[in-house]
Amino acid sequence: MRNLDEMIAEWRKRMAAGGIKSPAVLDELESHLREDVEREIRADEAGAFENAVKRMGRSELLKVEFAKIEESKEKRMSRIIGIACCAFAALYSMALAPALFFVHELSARQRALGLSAIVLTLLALITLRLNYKILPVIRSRCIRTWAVAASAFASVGWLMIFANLLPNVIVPRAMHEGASGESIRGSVLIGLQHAAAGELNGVFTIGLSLLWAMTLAAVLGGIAYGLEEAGKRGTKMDAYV
Amino acid sequence: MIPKELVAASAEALILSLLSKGESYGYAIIQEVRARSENHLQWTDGMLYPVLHRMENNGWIKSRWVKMENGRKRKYYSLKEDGKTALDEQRTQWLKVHNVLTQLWGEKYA
Repeated sequence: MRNLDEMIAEWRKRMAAGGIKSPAVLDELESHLREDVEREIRADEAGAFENAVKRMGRSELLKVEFAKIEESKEKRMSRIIGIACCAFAALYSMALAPALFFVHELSARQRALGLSAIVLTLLALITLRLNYKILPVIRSRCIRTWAVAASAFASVGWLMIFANLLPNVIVPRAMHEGASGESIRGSVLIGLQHAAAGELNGVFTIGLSLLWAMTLAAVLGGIAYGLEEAGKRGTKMDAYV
Repeated sequence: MIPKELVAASAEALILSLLSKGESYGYAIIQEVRARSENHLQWTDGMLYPVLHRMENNGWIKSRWVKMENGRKRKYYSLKEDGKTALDEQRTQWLKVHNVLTQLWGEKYA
C-alpha cells in the first residue's frame, strides 16, 4: 500500500495547490478516495486510483463550492452583528423611554422627538424578519456579501463613533461653555432628574441624541439582516425557475 | 443520465432523506443514491462534500469522526431537529412539483 499512500500524498498536494487547503476537508476527501480505490483495487491499483480521482472531481470546481460555504459564514456573522446592534439599540432606547413619560420639564417637541426615535428603533427590531420584502434583492452573491457586511459594520461603527462623539462633542456643546462634561455624563447615566435645573435642557438634548443614535444603529442593523434575507429568498426562488 | 442542474437541485432533499434513515458518510451516501437511481443520478463525488458542509453550517445536520477497525477515519453525518423540519419543507415542495407533473402527464397519457 506504500505506493497508494504516496499517490494520495501527491493528490493532497495537488488539491491544496488547487485551492482546497483545509486539512479537515482534505482528510474527509481522502477518506472517500481510499474507500473508492479499495472498491476498484482488485483489478489494478494505479488504474483504480486514477478512476477514483476522476470521480472526485477537479480541485478548481471543488474550491468554488467550498468558497461559497466560507462566504455564507461571513454573511451569517454580518447578520448576527446586525441583529445584535438592532437588539442593543432597542434595549438601550427602552431603558431611556421612562424618562420621556416621567420628566415633566420636557417640552412637547422634545417628547415627540424622543418617542418617534424609540418607535422607529422598536419598529426596526420588530420588522427585522419582514423588512426583506421592501429591500432590494441583490443577485450577485459577491456584492450582496459586501453590502450586508457594510451595513452591519456601519451599525457597529456608528455606535463606536457615537460613543466618542458623546463625551467629546455632544455633551460639551449641549451644556454650553463652562459646563462640566463629567457631571453631565454622570447625570445621563444616573438619571435625568439629578441634573441641575439650568442644565436640564442640555441633558434632554443629550438624551435625544442618544435615542436617535440608537435608531440609526438599529436601522442599519436591520438593513444588514434584511438584505441577506432578501437575497437568500430571491435567489432561492431562481434555483427552481 | 439526469442533468447536473437537476442533480444539484435535488441534492439537499436526497441527503436529508437518506440521513433520516440513520447516520451515514459521504461515500455511502453517493453509493446509495447511485444504486437507488440505477446509476441515473450521479454526483461528481467531491461535490457532495460542500453540500454536506453547507447543510452542517445551516444547522440541519451534524458530523463526527469515527475511527474504523482498520485505523482509518470516516466522517459520519446525522440529522438534527432543524434538518427534520427542512426535510418536511423540501418533501412538501418536491411533492407539489411531482403532483403537478403527474396530473399533466396523466391527462396526456390517460
